Amino acid sequence: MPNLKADLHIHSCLSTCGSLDNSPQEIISRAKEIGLDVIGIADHNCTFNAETLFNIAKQKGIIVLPGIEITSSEEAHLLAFFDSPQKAKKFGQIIFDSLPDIENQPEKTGDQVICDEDENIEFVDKYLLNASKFSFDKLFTMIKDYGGVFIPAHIDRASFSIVIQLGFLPPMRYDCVEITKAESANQYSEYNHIANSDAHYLEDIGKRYSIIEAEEATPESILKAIREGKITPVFSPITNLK
Amino acid sequence: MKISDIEKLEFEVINMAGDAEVTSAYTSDLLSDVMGNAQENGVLITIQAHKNTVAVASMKDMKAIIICNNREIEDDMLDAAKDEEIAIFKTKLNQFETSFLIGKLLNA
Ligand SMILES: [Zn+2]
Ligand SMILES: [Zn+2]
Repeated sequence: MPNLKADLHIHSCLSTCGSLDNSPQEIISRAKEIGLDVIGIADHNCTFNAETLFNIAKQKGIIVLPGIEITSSEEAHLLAFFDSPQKAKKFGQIIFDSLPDIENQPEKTGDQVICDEDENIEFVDKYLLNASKFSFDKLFTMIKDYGGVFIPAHIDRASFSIVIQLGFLPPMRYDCVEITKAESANQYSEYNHIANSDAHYLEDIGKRYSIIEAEEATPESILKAIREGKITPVFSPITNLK
Repeated sequence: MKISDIEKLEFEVINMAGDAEVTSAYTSDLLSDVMGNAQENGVLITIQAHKNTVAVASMKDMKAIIICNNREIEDDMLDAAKDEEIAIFKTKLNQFETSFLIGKLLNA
C-alpha cells in the first residue's frame, strides 16, 4: 500500500495572482524535483489546464488529480477533484459558465493563461476570481453527482473561507477539510484534515502537503483514500524543498 | 467630497494615497457584488480586510476603502493598496454607521 506524498492545491498560470512561470510543464518538473507523488490542479473557477497537466504528468511518472477551486455564491473557496480530466473539464465548464460576464483587466490582475502540451498559449478574457452563481450547498450536491470529492478550502484563513463568510462551518459530509496550521485540527476534530500549499508560484509547491495511503497509485484509488480519511497532513515543507 | 474629508472623520489612516475626489460610496461584504455594482471614483465600506478587496477596488477604479468593526488588516492588503494607490482607513464603527457618515459627506 503506497504512502503517497500529495499536494493537491496548486494553481497554474490560469490563476490571475500567479505568474507565467507556473506553466503545466514547469509545475510537473518542479513537483517531481521536490519528490511529490501526487499533485492536484485547482485553478480558480475553471479547469482549462487540467487535461494538459494530467497528460504531461503521465509521461513523467507522477499523478495529477484534475480539480478546481470554486468560489461559491457566498464567496467561500472549496476544492473539488475528479478521477478523470474529462469529468473535470465538463464540470469546470459548468462553473466557468456560471461566473458573471466581467472581463479580466490583465494590467491590474495579470493574465489568465491556458497553456497546452506544446506550450502554445491562449488567454481567458472572463475574470476568473469572481463568484459562481452556485451556493456552497448546491455545489456539494453537484460535485457528488459528478463523483468528485468536496473539500472546503483553507477553512482557518481570514479570506475566502466558508468559516469567515458564514461565521461557522456548516455540518456536512465533507470528504475532508483543508487546514493551513496544525493548531486548527482540534477545532475541527469531527472531520478528516488535509494540508496543501495553495501555491500560486512554483517555489511554494510542497510548502505544506499530505501523506495519502492509497491502495494503488491511481486517481480512483487516491480519491477513495481521501473519502476514507487515509490522509495525514504535514504542515512543514517537503524534505527535498530547498 | 475628497479623500482628506474621510480622514477628518477620525478614522485610523492605514494608507494615504493622494487626495482624489470621491463621488460615490458602496457598502458590501461580498466582493463579487462590489465587482458587479460599485461605481468608479467611489469609496468602499466593508469588513473584508484582505488584498483581494484592493484588487476589486482597483478594477472598479475606486479611490478608498474603509474597513469597519476594527477588523485586523493583513500586511499584504496594505502592500497591495500602496501599489494600487488606494487609500485605506479603519474604524470601530460598523458598516451602517460608517455609511451614514459617508452619506452625509457625499450630500454636503
Ligand atoms: Zn482559495
Ligand atoms: Zn487556491
